[in-house]
Amino acid sequence: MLNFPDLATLPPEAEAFRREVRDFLATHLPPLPADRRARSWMGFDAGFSRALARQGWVGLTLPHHYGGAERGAFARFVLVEEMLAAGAPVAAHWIADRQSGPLILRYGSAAQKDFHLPRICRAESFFCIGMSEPDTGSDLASVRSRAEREGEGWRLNGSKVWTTYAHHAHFMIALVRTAGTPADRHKGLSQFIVDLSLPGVRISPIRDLAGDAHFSEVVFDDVALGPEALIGTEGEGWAQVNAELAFERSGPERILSSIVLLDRWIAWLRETGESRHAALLGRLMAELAVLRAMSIAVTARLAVGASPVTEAALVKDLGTGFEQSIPTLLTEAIAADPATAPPDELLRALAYVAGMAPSFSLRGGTREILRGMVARGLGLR
Amino acid sequence: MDSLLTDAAADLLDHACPPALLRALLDPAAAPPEPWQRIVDSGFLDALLPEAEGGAGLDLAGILPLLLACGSHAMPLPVGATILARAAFARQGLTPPEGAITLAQPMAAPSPAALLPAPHLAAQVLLCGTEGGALLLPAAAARVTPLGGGLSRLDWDGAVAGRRLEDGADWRVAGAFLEAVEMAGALRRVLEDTLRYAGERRQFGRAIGAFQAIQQQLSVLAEESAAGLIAAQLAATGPWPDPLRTAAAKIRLGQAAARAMAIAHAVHGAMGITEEHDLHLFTLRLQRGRAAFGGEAFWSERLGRAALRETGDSLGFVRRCLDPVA
Ligand SMILES: Cc1cc2nc3c(=O)[nH]c(=O)nc-3n(C[C@H](O)[C@H](O)[C@H](O)COP(=O)(O)OP(=O)(O)OC[C@H]3O[C@@H](n4cnc5c(N)ncnc54)[C@H](O)[C@@H]3O)c2cc1C
Repeated sequence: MLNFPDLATLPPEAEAFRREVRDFLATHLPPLPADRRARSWMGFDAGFSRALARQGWVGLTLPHHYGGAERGAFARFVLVEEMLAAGAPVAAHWIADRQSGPLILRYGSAAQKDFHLPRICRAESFFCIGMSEPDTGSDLASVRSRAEREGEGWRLNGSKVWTTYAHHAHFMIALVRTAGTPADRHKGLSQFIVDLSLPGVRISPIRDLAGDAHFSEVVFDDVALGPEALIGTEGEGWAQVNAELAFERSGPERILSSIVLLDRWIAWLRETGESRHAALLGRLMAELAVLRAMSIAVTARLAVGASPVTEAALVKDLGTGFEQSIPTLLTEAIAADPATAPPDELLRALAYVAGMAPSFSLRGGTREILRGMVARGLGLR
Repeated sequence: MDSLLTDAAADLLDHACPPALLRALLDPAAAPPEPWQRIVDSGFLDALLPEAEGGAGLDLAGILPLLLACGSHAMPLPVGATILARAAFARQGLTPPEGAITLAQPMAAPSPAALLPAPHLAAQVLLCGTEGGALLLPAAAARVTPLGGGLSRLDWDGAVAGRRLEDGADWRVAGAFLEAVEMAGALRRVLEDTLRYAGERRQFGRAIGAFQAIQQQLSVLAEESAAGLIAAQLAATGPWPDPLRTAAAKIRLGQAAARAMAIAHAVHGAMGITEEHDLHLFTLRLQRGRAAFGGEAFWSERLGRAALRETGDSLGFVRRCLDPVA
């Protein structure tokens, strides 16, 4: 049986930190219309990430020794919540801050930590995640990209796809096969830190339905990797990648992807004095309040060093459902009276979020895969 | 949640209201008096009164385990309402009335009327006032019309003398709070029973819980139960039910109940709609709770209007008005 953690509250230090984050955003957030801010954590702006790094908040949970802020899970919750509510363009440093940095801290050698972590904290190194491949989606253990030993190092062949911002990243942490065949499943997988500037790496951005190019296809054609590219233990890639996915699933970003659109709509309701959609707004507020409380409850488990994998999957499934319901419900509300003229900015934000919403329950593990994890937590499999 | 209180509450309800007794309690002709006496003897009824006045000095979080246990036992005796009513009378310096007090939303009618579950189990009915405060009427003085689903309509003669509680409180909030929290308990029970059934019932040579289609539904049920428990905890903070946090909990539990009832019955197959099986005791509890003291539409409208009156973004509203420390 699954016992979801009890209600928890953010500690006063975290609320004090919120004020600092707000001050930072007031001076450093570029003025962007709602439809740009609605890109949420897909908005890329290296300059913004560097400003955040100068403030000391990239590598927020990494040790001081490497230039990190050495803050805990609650501070991270607050920073992410404020950034996403403001629609700050966080994509450049996002993956390194959220998962690659913590992964390197946990599994990396002293040399790997000394090399990568300070660069991450200065927002000089951007990372991407190389898990999915053309024939590997939900079934991650079926990866075919392969690194063969060659001399001291490795030779890498294969391809990755849907790799978010590979075309702007400096490094990829890739899950590849180092022994056996795809039939060996979880055995024989390893993770590598691939320098994307090496010869033989070809990166082609893929345009999405909104006209953006955030993800790429990455082809490895006889890429020569040094021995220092292997991260963690050879053959332990499966366990490592699952620990990494747990970092990826637990944050407020799984609730707030449509929040800029929602807030723009609320602003319009207030401007026009329109109250006929009050009930819809109330329903969304109730859901948001409960999801946020659930996310804080999971954060409190992280803060004491637990690994709430099932709980994070549960909140992500509910949270992405909420994010997806917003454009669906607002389409209906905004179109309720064909004679009104909603602001262009609201319509653009709606068009963007409605188009991208299906991806919310795909990226980071699909709805069906997450529900399978919850079922496992319930003892059903 | 305090585990000592949780264990004590579960223990009390396991003894006062096991499923076998529950059926007897629901029967107006056969309802035994012992369960109520057990509750009285437990001292829980004055849980919200200060210790100096013979109470336990608890706040809402302190009585939450008991209320959840009432929900998970589909307790038909009005334990939560009696606790809140006794505290309210005492706070006004009045002696609380004797016996079980049920809270009810009055219906628009020329003379007092209300919808009520198990009216035979209440000594007094506290009717929520529209302008705050409430009116206490003796249950025995009402004409009772059964409506199905465990619900009856009670009509009082316009001349019947009641006792007024002029505390200015919006008792609909208190009613919605109790329903929401008990629904969270019932939802948890529905999850546990449905999981057990999915492990026991076999078809096509396997437990039905081994089928992915069933697993995915049970995961949704578990998600709704987890959301319901957090919503209940969010509402059960502070000394008295807060209108906006109660609104959020009532809305979220109404949604959760609708989803949960459908899944639980789908997984149980035909067995789940029999009188013999216990499932309906808990799904009917959810159904009644969803409709009582205003459904999702009523509380959503209220919560939405409150949000429109504010300035700033949605998360700011949530932090100011719907946070456990707000
Ligand atoms: C915006 C975006 C950004 C992304 N960024 C990255 C990135 O940076 N790096 C990276 O590696 N990947 C990334 N991905 C890829 C993402 O991880 C995959 O989309 C995801 O794992 C699902 O794989 P798929 O798209 O191949 O779908 P499939 O696995 O082909 O699934 C298709 C459908 O089949 C269902 N299905 C599959 N298996 C089962 C099963 N066992 N039981 C029931 N149903 C099943 C799925 O739930 C889904 O509904 C990104 C995706 C998106 C949309």
